[in-house]
Amino acid sequence: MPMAYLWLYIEALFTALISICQWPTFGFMLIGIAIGFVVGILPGLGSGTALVLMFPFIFEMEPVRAFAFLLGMASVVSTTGDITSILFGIPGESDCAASIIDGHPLAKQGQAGRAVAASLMSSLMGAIFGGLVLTLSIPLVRPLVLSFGSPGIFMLSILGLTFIATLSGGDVLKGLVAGGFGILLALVGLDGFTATPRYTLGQFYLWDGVPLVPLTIGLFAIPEVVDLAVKGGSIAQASIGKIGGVMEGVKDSFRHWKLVLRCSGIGALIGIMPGVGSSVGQFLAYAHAVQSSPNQERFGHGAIEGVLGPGAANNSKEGGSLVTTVAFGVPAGLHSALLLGAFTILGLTPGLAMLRPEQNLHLTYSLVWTIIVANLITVPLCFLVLRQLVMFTQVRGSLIIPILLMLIFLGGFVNNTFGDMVMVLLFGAIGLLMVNFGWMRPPLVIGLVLGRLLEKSFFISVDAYEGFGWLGRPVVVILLLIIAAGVFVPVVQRIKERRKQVKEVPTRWKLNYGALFSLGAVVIFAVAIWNAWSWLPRARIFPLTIFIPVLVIAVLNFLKDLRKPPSKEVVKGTDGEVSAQDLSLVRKKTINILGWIGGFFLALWWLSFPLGIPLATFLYLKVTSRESWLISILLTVVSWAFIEGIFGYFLHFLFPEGELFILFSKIISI
Amino acid sequence: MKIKKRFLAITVIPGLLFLLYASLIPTSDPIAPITLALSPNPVLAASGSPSFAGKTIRIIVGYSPGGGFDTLSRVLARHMSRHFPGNPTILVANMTGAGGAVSFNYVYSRAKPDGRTWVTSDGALILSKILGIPGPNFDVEKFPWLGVAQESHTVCLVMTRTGIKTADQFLKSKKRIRIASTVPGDSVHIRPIMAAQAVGANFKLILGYHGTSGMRLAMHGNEADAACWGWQSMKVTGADMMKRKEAIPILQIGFGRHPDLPKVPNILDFPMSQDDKKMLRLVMGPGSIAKIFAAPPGTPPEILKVLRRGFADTLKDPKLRAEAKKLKISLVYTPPEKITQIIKEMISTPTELKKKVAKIARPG
Repeated sequence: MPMAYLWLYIEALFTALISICQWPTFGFMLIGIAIGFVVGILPGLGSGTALVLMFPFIFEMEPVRAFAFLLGMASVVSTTGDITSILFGIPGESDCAASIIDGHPLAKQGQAGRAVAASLMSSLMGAIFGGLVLTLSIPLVRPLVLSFGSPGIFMLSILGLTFIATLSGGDVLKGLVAGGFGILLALVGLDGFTATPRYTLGQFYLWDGVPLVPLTIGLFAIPEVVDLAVKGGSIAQASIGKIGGVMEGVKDSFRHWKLVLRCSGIGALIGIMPGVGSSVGQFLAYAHAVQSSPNQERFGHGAIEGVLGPGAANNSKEGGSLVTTVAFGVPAGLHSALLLGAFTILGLTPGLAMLRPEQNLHLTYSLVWTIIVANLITVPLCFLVLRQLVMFTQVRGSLIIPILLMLIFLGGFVNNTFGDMVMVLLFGAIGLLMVNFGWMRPPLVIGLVLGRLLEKSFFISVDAYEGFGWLGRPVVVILLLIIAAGVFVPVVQRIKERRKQVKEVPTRWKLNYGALFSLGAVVIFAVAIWNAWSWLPRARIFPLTIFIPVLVIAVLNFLKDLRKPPSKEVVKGTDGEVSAQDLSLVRKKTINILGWIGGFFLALWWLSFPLGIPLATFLYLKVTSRESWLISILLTVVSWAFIEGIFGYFLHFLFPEGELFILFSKIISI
Repeated sequence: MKIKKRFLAITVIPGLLFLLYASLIPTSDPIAPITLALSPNPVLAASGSPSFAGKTIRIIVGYSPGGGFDTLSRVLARHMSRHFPGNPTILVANMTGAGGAVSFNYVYSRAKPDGRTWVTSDGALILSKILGIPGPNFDVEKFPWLGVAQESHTVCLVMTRTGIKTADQFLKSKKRIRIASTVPGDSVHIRPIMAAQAVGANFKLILGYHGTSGMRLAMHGNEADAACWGWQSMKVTGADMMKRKEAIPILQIGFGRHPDLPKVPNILDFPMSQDDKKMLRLVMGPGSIAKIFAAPPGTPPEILKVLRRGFADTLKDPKLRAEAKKLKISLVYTPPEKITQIIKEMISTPTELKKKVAKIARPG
């Protein structure tokens, strides 16, 4: 009997494969893939919006075709989104931000081809792995998700936070303070238990919290633009081979196949967990890649493992999150929430019927196949155009900077409110300072994506299980052991190693800019604690528990910086002696590009996107880059066409009205 | 040099193609910001009768793509055009923030009152304004409502493993009943909590779940015994649970019994004090205006008239009804006069009762 039952599963698996390979289903999938390709590459055009716009077309379709169409798109956006992250340092999709950290430095070293190839291959492997997870876990998925529960999610968040130490790039104090700052940002908004407005600075915009996309764009992309402008030349500072070591990248993904598989596993697991959010997996995978590497110093400067991890995880999560959607009708992420809507349109009810071979299992399996086949098509396609894509990194910076700035501001504009632009600018400034004073940025992002989750899952666990009995649950104990093994063992080892090292001779106490920045962190946490003091107990327990120790660490960090000025990150290519003349040139260029970033912002504020961007682009090209009239005008027209055409005409973006126009119409009406 | 040429080729050609495209289609309106600023009210033509010919109407949704508000608005938008003079293009734009309040504030204080920008939002925002909770910055009585397209009739769903079979057992249980919920002040929190207060039920609200889907999962995973949310969504998302008798609808928290559930008792059927009844009615009020549409204040009356008529006609449209049925969206139409009446009743609740409710909705 079990054999016969197994046979039914296999039969469903093949029925599903045949059904998606039939015409016109396959054609619909190709259309979906084509849309997904573009959506992934373009920052500011999220897959959620795209899915919603595709919805009206599925009303009359058969379920298998509709899913091939929708999922064909949804399952390739992370694959192509990574390309933008690597080449330009701007996340193409919100779940591709982690690929920037090591992918973009590789592009700067002229190894864009290698990085993109590695990311593509790991994406493919991740997608296949995610599909396999979906296939194999179908009989087990309900007990698995249910046994996890809120206590499991709580332990998972703790595990995630322990990665902060690994991600600190050698300076654990700074990493912990940055992580604490991330948690502080995560707490911004109305608290979920007493509705206390926490750290909202009286701003309505912040009630829903700090939005992740503008933050990551500011934090990672703005420093890259500044860097590009200061160094001059193109994004790729050197060129290796014709397209930057594509074969090498493919080999890398096989060389580190174990890592790719583990990160796929992380992505799939996070994908399965509802309410964790699709951005978490990529960062945890990145953190794991760092943690499992023998030489962690390379990370952040172009370690290929840092590309492979997130690449695999952000694709395997698709399969994972569909598991929960199909089994419970509980969407684990944005894509699956939208696909759930498609279930309704198509008259399907998620639940056990979707998991039974005698009922709709073949439909579920067709989802698996769509994810796998879509990536099997997209990845080779990307390899075909890789050469053209990589070329962008070789175009001179003076041409590319206005385009990057446009993509940065468009990409940050996610909630259709002007506050997003302010966020991009604010976190751009923070990102610049962090880079300049030797702070790692990933711990901040980890704190941000996990902070809320940690607080929520803790209080839910305490409330739902009335006390702390849940600490004895098997899932909790297992995760606790993993945390202990993963963190304390290397920490103990490192302490032992450090004792053997000769202590550095302490330098003199001296106030420097780096120390001032660290002092700023001390002040922020002091204010945060002082602020929290008057809140209701439920609202203040968590911030106080976290921020009091962080304040102590921040003070220690400040004292350390006072003693030994942190080494400024040496601008690559100019190592060797730096003359005073060079320094003043660097300063000039820095001020210049910062002025332009502010200028773009003002242009957007006063004139809005359709006029502001082309105008600022033209002025930049003509004034700073000193390009010819022809090129300046052409690129200006292109930028205008891009904004008006794709975002205005096709996507009907709601651009904010320019402040000047509002003023103008007021004057007229008077 | 070679690179420059190639780069120009791939950037310039699409640009020129677009220019060609834009010039062929007159509606692309590339200088919209300028014309918008210069013309005071383009919809009201010189002739007097408003026409939206060649114009665009935007419905601003305060929530993310794919959610209930978004789906509803997009379905309406697809069928609206033919019910407005001049057949305008109807678009949906998402502007998220502060539980929909950002979009509400935007349309109230910044959007041009020319009938071309509307907002849809949650009746709960109106309640929080009436309760005097800081946040949404508008005058409830000055917002020109267009109508309501959907109600939200709260029903409590209880897991059968608890052994509870009747509303009486549910409300008088000695054992604490854990009710999954999201954030304080949300209807899935405040309605069960006010119901429990009115009849002395032994409920424990577990806050923190992510939407009703998170609440459902909590019930599956035995973190909660029950949850109360809108029947309009429950009959779709809870269908599997109810079909397999894992959970049953046990109590209604709305005005009267829903036609789908004639046998499930309503909380108002149980004895309670007048004050408790008033407070319950106050928190149930937003359910009748759950998905409300509005235009900016200052919209000229003749335009408003056209908008209201168009809105009402859209909701009668059989094509829309058919599509909504397929999407399992329940539609109602509540006219603006009825909305004003509902809101007036909410406002008329005695101040000390409002304060009590506000304390529960927003303790911090």
